[in-house]
Amino acid sequence: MSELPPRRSLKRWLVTTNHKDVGVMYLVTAMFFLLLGGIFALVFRAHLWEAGGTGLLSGSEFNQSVTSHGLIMVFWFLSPFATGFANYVVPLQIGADDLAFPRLNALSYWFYLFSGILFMLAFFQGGSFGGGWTMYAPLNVPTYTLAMEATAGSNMTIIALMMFVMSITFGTVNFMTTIHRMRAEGLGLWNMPLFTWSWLLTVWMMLFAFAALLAALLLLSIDRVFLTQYFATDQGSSLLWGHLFWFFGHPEVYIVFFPALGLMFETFQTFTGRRLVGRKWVIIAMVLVAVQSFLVWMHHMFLTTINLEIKTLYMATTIGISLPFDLMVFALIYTMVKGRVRFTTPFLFSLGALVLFILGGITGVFLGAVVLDYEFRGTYWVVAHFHYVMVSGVTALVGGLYYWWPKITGKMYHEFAGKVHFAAYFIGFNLLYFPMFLTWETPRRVFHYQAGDLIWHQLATVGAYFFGFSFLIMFGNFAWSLLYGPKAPDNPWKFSRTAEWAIPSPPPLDNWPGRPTYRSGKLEFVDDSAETATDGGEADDPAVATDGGTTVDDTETDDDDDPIIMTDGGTVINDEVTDKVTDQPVATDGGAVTDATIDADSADEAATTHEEAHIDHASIWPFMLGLSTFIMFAGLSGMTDVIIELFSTEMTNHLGQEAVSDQASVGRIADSGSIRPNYIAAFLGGLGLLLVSLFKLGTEDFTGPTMNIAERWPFEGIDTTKFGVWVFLASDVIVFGAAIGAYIFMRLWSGWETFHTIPSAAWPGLLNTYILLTSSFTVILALVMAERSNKKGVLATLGATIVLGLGFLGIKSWEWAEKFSHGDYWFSGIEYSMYYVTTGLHALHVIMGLLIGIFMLYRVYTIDAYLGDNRHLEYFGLYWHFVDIVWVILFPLFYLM
Amino acid sequence: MPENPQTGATGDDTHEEAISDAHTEYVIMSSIRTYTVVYILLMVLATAKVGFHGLGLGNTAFIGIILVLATVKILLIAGYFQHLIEEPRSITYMMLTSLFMVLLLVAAAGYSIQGA
Repeated sequence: MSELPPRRSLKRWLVTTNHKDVGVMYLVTAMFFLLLGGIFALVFRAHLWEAGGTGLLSGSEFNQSVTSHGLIMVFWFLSPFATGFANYVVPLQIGADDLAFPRLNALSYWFYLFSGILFMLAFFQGGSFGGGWTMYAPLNVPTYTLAMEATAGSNMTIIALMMFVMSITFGTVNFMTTIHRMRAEGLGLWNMPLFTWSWLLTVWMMLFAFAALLAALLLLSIDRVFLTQYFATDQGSSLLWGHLFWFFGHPEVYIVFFPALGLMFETFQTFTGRRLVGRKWVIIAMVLVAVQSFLVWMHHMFLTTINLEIKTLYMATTIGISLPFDLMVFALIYTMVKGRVRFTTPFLFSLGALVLFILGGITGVFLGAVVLDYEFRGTYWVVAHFHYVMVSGVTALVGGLYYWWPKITGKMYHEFAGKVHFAAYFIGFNLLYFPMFLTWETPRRVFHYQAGDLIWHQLATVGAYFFGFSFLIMFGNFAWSLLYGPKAPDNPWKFSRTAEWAIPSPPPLDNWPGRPTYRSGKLEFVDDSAETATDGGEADDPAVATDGGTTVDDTETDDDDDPIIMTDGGTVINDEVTDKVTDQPVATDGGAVTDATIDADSADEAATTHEEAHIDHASIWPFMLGLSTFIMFAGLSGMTDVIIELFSTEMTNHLGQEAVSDQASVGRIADSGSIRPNYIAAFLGGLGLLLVSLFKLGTEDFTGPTMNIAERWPFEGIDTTKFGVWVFLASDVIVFGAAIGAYIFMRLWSGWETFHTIPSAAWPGLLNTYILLTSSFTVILALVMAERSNKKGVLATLGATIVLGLGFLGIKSWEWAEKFSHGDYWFSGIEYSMYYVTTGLHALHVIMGLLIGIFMLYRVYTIDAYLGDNRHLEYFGLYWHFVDIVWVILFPLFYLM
Repeated sequence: MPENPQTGATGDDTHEEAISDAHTEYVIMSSIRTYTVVYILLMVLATAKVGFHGLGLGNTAFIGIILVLATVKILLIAGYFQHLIEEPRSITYMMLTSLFMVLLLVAAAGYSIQGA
């Protein structure tokens, strides 16, 4: 078993990789950021008590407060809050022991936490970013305007956000792999619980959307630190940011809302005692929304100079996306009608969320119409609309906290206090946000408004404080629960249907008393060793439908008071919803059935066998990786001054004396000679620690969960880690695609034919093409040599790959040096920025590949690694070939066209 | 049946292992041949790009040719070096979806500024 320290030990929380621990850490950290974001809101709402501001905040402080509130709530609270639930619940709902990559999961959390610390640190580094949570160009770059100022703090905000997005990327790869590769036997996709369904679609959307944001933030960070020109020109920069940001930004609405929606489906089923009406259609509707979410982003750009044809098209797609939502809303309403509602606290919050979402959705349709949007854009109408949508999601998630609180803590909360909380929350919410519809002509992000709107703003401010106060009730309730609350049973909700309620509250470290399986149509725990002895160990039962149609023997429901828990998929065991509370079996939802009663003896016996699987739950290296990246990025944020110092003469030649002197003056963080070396030391020290931590992580002996028998459609026939690598590459396709797309977009803007290309000759690019293609070939040969267990062969071919990679970098360095000698730098103009950044990003990938290659070479040399088992070499090869493919595109784009 | 004193295997076992080893070796050699052919093709296609560049074709024609050559190269690398042809088709679909997203972003954004 694991060597995980007890819960009361701080060390446990630093080293744990267990999904439940990580889930709790996500939830607690997200709640902290909810408070922080809430305090910012209360401060600027106080400032808005009078038209023109009360004087509580300066103009810059108001900008920073509004921006920080938006960024914290959207990024550091909402998504991580849902991620916390997903961490805790999704593996339980699908019957997995843990997430597919537990250390990556812990890494994801530590990147999240440290990115938040970096964000907060920004306030102490000359001021945080104040350009709004949408970070519109060109206000987001210091070279264009002094309004945003090139402080290390505002750089730090952007870099913190980039680190947060990296955390999301790790989580996405992990959840995609887990849900697609580790579902218990018999748990087909149709049968998956609806929260897990919503989360699966969320991570699919995250995969594509957050990768686009990562690319945008990479470019923006480079603009801010190295003073490139992506978002600083009047040659399409503003539109470029708009496209990149909103390609992420609109799916983000659903990324935030889908987990809440999944929670509403779960709680509606549980507290109406009724399977969700039209369950399969609801799943199809969710899939449709996930697809459509990538087809509506330009409705956020109706006020820009994009052409009318595309505006009209996007108006149509925007109206179209409301249709699947209509189906989901009616499914929820009809489920209430068909069932018998129990107004518990989680249900009240879910119902409240539905009401708020309907209002938010209807008011959003106004913004989807081009002509109306011309009026509403940039006003409090938008503020009110998106708060009704986003905070309705929060409402459902708060309901989720009450719903899963007994499972997570093992304690019941106070029901009446929960209902009081809901009442205060709902009143406070509407008092805060509804007046914003009435004062819709107020421009957002400023504290000046018409005198006639005073009453609405003051009402909103009162509502804000009331709304904030309601959370104190919740925290009080939970504190009471932890101290004095009655012990929670395994399943406190009579008609809950999912597997997490079939095990103790809180669940044991390894979750299950045996291998979970749904092959009989209900959840059972199998002792594989016993099964092997009796029937040969082949667990597959061809008669079991895995995608919906599971057959259930309804006689099983008659014997006891424990509920038969189904995770749905359309199976009905008894389609009468009973009126008697004591009657447990209710046909609601979900495909597979969880029988919450497990024979204790067989469970213990099975547990013994199950424990033999032994998976690890502790590693310090994810924490160290997070810490070292944090230190490195903190140092990076102060590098703007270093760049200015080093290249001031060259910048003067290109930008003009005035611009450079402005840069130097706003880089006031460097006014004391001791600060700048600190940033450099932090950057280099963090980088060093990062490399050491990566090495230690790579050499650590760590056993993750494996599932020999699992439902994996449509991703069976590939090993789990390799699938994870492919998911990562799918994400990287978007990152590179967005960077390359930025080049194409800016070139189209300038005129394709007249665009000034940078490389003076094609031959260095061709030579590098030959080198990379050859290195791809040597990687493949290394794979073959490993298969033959030919150590010398592996060393020679892998070594050749590294030499070729270094050769590639050598030629690239020569090319750049040659350009520099002619006075052509990355800040010399947008075309130069794009050349250096895009090829530089590719070179960075080559460097990362080389580090992995050198590590593998060391492992082959020292411990004969990978001989006879070349899987890890293949994973490396997948990455290296991808880098090769990117060059296949970059070479003609930059050198030949 | 004589038994191998080193391994305990019978003669039949040894014979089967020898056949199996030979088969594995055949598969490996055949894959090396495939990889080599793909590598040569990739080098030729890379050279062809520069060759067409030197012909002074019209911009549209040249871009079209480059797109075709690059697509063939990418398919060869992904299909054979990354073994995509041997993986479940769903992996290919996932990567195509990712590629589609990029094309969607670039095409729609590019179109949005035409005639604006």
